[in-house]
Amino acid sequence: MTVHALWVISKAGGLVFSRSYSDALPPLPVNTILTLAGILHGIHAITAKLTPSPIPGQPVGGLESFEAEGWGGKVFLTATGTKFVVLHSIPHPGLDDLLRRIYEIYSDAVMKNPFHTLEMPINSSLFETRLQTLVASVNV
Amino acid sequence: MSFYLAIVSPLDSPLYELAFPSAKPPPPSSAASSSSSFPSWSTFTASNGSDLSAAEGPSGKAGGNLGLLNGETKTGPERDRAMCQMIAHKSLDSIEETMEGTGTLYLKNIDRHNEWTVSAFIATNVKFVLLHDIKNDDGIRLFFLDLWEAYTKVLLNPFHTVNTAIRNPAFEAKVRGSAKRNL
Amino acid sequence: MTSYFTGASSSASPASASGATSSRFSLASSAVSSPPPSLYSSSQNPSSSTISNVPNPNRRESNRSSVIQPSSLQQQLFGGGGGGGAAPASGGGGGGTGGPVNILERPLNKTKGAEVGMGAWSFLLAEVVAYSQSRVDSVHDLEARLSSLGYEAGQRILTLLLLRNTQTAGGKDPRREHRLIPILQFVHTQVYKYCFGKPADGLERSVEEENEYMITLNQPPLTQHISVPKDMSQLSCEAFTAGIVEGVLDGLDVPARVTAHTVGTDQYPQRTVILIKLDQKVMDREEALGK
Repeated sequence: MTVHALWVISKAGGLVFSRSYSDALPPLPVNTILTLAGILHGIHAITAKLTPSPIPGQPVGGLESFEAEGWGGKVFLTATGTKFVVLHSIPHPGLDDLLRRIYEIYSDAVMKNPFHTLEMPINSSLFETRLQTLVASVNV
Repeated sequence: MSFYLAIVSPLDSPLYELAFPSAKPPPPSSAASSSSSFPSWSTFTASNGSDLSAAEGPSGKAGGNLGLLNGETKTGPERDRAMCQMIAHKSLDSIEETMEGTGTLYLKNIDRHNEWTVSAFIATNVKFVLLHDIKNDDGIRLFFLDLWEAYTKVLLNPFHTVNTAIRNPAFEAKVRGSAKRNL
Repeated sequence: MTSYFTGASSSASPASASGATSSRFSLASSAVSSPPPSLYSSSQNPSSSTISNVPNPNRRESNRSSVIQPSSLQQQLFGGGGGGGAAPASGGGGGGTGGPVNILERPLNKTKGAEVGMGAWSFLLAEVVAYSQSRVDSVHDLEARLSSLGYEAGQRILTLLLLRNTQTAGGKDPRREHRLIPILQFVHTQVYKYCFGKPADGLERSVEEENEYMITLNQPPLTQHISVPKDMSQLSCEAFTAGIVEGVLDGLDVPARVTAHTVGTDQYPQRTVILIKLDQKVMDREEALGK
């Protein structure tokens, strides 16, 4: 499995972090990624609305993954509404575990950092280096 | 046959003081000598015992002045109190001198003044100073350990600022209880 | 195609309009359904003839619940530690067995099951740093603030450690270290072990200055999740630890200026050096005590 990119989308739908991890992905301008992330947030909201027979009182999950020729994306929604989107190559063993690890790194390096403001772009060198190590161990 | 306890901050201001009589019946020989041979002005309890409560009264505002400035007009018990304070603070010099060269926290019989013997305990920053007129090394050590534990617990209270006067009634009850047991 | 699209859009607009009306209806119905209680009570009120009669119990209830002031909270938690003269000496609080216990009655050495999770600490320290940062102008002031908070903790930690050591030794001969090197070793092993679960990784004397010592920690657990922004690069949140060390040293009668510096290596990017600059008084005393 190759991880192409990681986006972190805040509760309000803003892109707070994006990093590309492979050369295979065409480089995109930041504004484009921002727009794409916004659209993905919208699609996620729509799919959540479309959930047939939702259990009352339980939060409904929306879009979880999408696939295309040779690559796909996985959306991981936390209980507080933050979304992690991983763009990856298609055979993807251990993707769920990877997302959990990313979430763990996020809650450690971002949420426990006093210099981070909620809903604002993530500006933590620790977060980046830890992600880099994690993704490097997955990308082959 | 009585005791005077003071807790002194690193800047030599009193954080807590208390005077109390011994719980144990005095051994007849020493009691006879102490009551006869020592001048009455430095004995803490008068014969009627009423001055003890009078001495306790001002201990509530322990952080204030030492009451030494207008000593001439003092009545008996207040003068005794001032006397004890003076002895306790006078001995601070010898305590500080001794504690530089030793790692022991309990400094027994560090100083003497007339019939009073001074023992001290170095609880890190603060010093416990105890004036006593009988020799009771082990009891005083146990009393100091109890006091130290109570002081540490007071210190662990986040609402207590370090090196400020201790006004916790439970602390006083604890100290009195330990004094009753050990002294 | 186009007609289909326009048709769709035109059909969509009535739908949205009907949606709006239906929502307005639902609003209205909710507005209708909510008045009855108020109407009912207002019609009830004249019969009871005193308006204050009905709301009063409620108000008293709310008053009672709002009566819990900081001082009484303190009494509940810690049995009247500071100011409140009215605090009961027993401090029981009448809560039965589950009620609050006076701080003086609590066991001091019951550490089993009393550990605090690392995550809780991290969040707490993050909050402390954020709070302090909102109150200062410069990096230096922020470090000073963190250090003074650590100092308070250090004073208490020292007393607690010495007392525990004495109590485990049976209270026979209460001791503290009074020579410089044992004191530093005490900080290096016991204090660090108490604070961070393991002794510090190194204790060295500075080569240039005789009165400077350094305690190093390769991976400081307290600040492991904090990444300092670039514009504050000289800040080290380990100033809190430096404050603890300073408080402990001061309690042992070793006044010193303690600062924290992040000196990362390739292997340990967060390696922190606690620099202890001892007061001249300490050096003189060591000289006098000799050996």
